[in-house]
Amino acid sequence: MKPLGFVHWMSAAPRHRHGLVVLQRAIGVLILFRVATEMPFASYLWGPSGIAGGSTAVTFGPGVGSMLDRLFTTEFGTRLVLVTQALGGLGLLLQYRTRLATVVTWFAFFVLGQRLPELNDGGDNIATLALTYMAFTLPMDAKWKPGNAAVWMHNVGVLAIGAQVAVLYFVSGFMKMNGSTWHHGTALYVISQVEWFSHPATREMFKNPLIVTVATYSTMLFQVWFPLAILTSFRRAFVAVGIVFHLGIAVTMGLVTFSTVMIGLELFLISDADYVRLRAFPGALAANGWRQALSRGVAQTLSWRSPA
Amino acid sequence: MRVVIGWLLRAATLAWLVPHFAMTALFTLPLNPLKMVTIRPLNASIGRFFPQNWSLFAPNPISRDQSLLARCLRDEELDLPNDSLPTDGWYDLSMPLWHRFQQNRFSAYDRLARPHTYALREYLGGGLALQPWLESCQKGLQKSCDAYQEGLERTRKAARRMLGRVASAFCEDIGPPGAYAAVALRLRDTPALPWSRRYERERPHADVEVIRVPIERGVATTGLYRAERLP
Repeated sequence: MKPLGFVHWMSAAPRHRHGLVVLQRAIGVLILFRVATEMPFASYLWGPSGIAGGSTAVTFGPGVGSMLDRLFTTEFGTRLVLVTQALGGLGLLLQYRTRLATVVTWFAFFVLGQRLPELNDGGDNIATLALTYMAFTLPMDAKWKPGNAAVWMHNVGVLAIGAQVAVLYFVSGFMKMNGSTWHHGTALYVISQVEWFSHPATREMFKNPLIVTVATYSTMLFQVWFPLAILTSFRRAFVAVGIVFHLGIAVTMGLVTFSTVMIGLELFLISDADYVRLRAFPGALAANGWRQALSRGVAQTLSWRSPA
Repeated sequence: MRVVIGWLLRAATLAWLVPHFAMTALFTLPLNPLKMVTIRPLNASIGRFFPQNWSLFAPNPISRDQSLLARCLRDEELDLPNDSLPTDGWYDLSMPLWHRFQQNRFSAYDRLARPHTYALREYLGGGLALQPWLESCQKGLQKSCDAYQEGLERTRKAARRMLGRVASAFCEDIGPPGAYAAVALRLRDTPALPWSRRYERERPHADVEVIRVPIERGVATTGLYRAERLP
């Protein structure tokens, strides 16, 4: 992309708006799932007599930090933070006042995360970061004019989320390249024996030499190549593989919320033009039959043309 | 004037975006010479405001089940040395939660096991946050060894508190209030079988004494272990 082309891309229109809606909904689902399953244990986890010992002072300093920590000195305050988080998540899911919902969700999620950091996983980590960058973006129904500063800021947020996903994938794949079990193709066999991240039903599958070798190597290669692939027209194919990959993680490893937000991030990377084509697919199916519609879809997915 | 401010804003956002993600990448990458000389500003910026870790089962995935065993102790058992503790009455606080989570993925059992699983790991080895210091120390840098030791003491103190609270909550749950005075904790370490022994049924384990802590009265409990709920 030429420098002027980049400036045009940033200024002409807000990008990835459909993808952003999908990501917001995925984070909304994550938040509501966590609140629904963890609310019964709120006192134990975050309450004034609970196990948590963390403080927001780490980020906000002693003044603001101790003020925010006071929220957790009562059972009411603890639940209030959770309810606030749920309302924010609901706003994201239903696409109601998404900017406010983003800020509210980020605040509650961040405060709870600082209170008990041991509870969070990579999915919560990337969701917090995505929410931070999402605060720059425009709601789906917002009015905008080409060249507006608001359009530019939206696209800064979009670029930041994309860059964060690229860092996540590249670092994760790059670090695996130094691991002996990933090198020797047995990493997924090893994980399949750890009760925390496995399911007994899939344990035997990873004792098969072909399955374990292919699955281990393809995981590592997929992660390393992902940041480059999303800049090419292979993006759609990588996104499709990524979705299958994370569905597998949700089922076999039980990382349901992590997979939800990762699938949301992968779908975020699909351009608005692709979403329009995707929406036209059922119509094409009805008009031309499934063979023609599918072959056109595959041809477009693997097309070398630059993404619209 | 508004046009100038608009373009300054645009330039400022780009000037932030590039170094921010360069620093993010450096912060999350393994230890390297550049990271070693910039680790303090990285921790103070990305580490403080955008904390993240993408090791995600790298460089090697977890290769063992490390569960926390607890034995609630009555007053009369307090003076028993570790090697004379009763062999009965030990409860596994991790494995049942993982098994229930395998049965129901749409539950919080996994989350309930996380705090003490991390605390146990941090108590034993310092956890992920201290890894760069440990790696650097192992390469012979004395300053890193000092930083690691200092961090380990701090981490152990926090982990001990967490383990104590989790175990106290468990003892308060299973017995009448005030029945127990302390709790002994063990690590049950069950390594994964190597690939060459993948068809063997038994996975040997080893138990390691960790700590003994006084019961913390009034700690909130999960309610999962209350006598009326146990089969």
